[in-house]
Amino acid sequence: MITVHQLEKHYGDGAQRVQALTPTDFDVYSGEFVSLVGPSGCGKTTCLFMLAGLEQPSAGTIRHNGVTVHGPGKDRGMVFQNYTLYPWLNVRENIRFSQTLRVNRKERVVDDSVEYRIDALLHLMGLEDFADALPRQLSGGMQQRVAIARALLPKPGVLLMDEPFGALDAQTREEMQELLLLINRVERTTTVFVTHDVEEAIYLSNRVLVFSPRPGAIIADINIPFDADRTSDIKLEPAFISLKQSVKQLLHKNDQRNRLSRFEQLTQSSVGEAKVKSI
Amino acid sequence: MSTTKLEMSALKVKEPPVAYAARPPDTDAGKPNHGIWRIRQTLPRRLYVSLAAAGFISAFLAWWITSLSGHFDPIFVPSPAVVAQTAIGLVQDSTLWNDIGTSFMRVVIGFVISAVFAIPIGLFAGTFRPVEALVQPLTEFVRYIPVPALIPILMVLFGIGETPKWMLIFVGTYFQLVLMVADEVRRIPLPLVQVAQTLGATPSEIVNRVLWRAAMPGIFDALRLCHGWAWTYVVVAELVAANEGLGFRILKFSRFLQTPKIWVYLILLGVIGLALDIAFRRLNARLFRWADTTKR
Repeated sequence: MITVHQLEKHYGDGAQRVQALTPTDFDVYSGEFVSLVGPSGCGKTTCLFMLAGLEQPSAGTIRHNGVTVHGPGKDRGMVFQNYTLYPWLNVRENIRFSQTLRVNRKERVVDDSVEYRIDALLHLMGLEDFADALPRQLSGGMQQRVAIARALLPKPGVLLMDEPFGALDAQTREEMQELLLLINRVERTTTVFVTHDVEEAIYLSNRVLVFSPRPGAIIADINIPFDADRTSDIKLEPAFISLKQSVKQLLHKNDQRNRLSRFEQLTQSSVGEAKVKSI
Repeated sequence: MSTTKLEMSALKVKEPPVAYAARPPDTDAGKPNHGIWRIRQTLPRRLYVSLAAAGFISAFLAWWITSLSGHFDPIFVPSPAVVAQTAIGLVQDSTLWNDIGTSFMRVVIGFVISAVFAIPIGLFAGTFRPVEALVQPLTEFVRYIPVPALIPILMVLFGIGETPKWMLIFVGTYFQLVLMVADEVRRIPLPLVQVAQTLGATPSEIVNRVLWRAAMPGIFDALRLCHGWAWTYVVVAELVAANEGLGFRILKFSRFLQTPKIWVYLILLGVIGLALDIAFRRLNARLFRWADTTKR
């Protein structure tokens, strides 16, 4: 379980200070698939990077299974938006990478079990014919499959995914979404998934956290009522569509409200300045 | 029944729309668009080699015509035939081979010393900011001191033996190489590092297993480029103080106005450089099949 308490992030200081994430609280329970959804620059990716320990919070705490997060660790796997396979390693070696690191070499008991698990993951991902291929020989979708398998191999407590299908074409993207649902059913890995695609978020998740534009804050925490064995057919169901519409409206309304208040701020301050000058 | 009909009609779209059929035929269809002049268009290998050969041939013709025109004294611009004859004579003489061997060894030793220091220091400068701050500004400063101007100091420090030649090559290539290696390391996408971190890699594992591996093809290419300067500096060193070597011989020939011999040596320097360059490229492509070396 992940507990996020008053998590906050800002960049710069003084006049250049940019608030990326206002103090935020949320929990992710074991086995849950939670999506963080919102427009670009809403702090959802920043939030994910802080969960991964790749960015330091300005304030607040993150606890994973009771342990405070201070930096990256093998208990929190991550899949990035862009292709991050090691080009000099073939598919199998890329997936095995974590097991060759010192942290895992120390506690490894049976060697064969790792190879069996790699085989299983290759199979699950539909990569069994590409085990010896180099990353540059694979399509974007295939590369992301390898990246997911690599992150899953050590059975991380939580899998963090930063718009993993953002760079893929629409069809591959749908394939990957279905694959991810399948993996979820098999692996039951707790997952935090960042996306700006509302449909993707609802389709994949148990819960969706909606972020407002900068400065980021959670404006809604929505339970998704569909089963774990959902298929893409649910995208056509009225319940799905109305859920999607309400999240989109929420984002849209919030965006307008923000712009309006910013506009008012700006006009007021300019009026104020004008008054000062005239005096 | 009615629903099936609807589906059928929805699926029947094979007929081209009228507007499409009525369009005038596309006259450019099938013609190559700009062909080989398209920006960054790749060339067939054979065409590339032919064009490269044409470049050499035109330079050769220009030389030949210049020598025939009579504008220059044949002592200064000897004809290709004279140079070729001279070359045949020189090739049979052991002096030429000794000179090549001597200069080659100087380049190898000087360059290896340079690489042995530059690669690890560049790797760390590209990885850790404190090392960068310590090394890089100083390197940029030294890089702008003209290397030949250091010869008097090197001679005072190291005498006139082999050491000052190695040191000149070292000084001439080390500072460039450090910066190039550091740049290559910095060019590695951050997510490659971050993935390793989330998988539990320690900093030393990230340096050894990610940064070093990922930068290897780029570092190898930096060696290829810097190695060219090594040949420049070995000749500079030999022009100043030496008893053998390609540069020394060129200076000696010039004292006796043996221009055809100078030309032979100059062409030889070009051939050696080009051959080593090609060897470096081939080796790079072979060693790092995983990298798309064609983009370099």
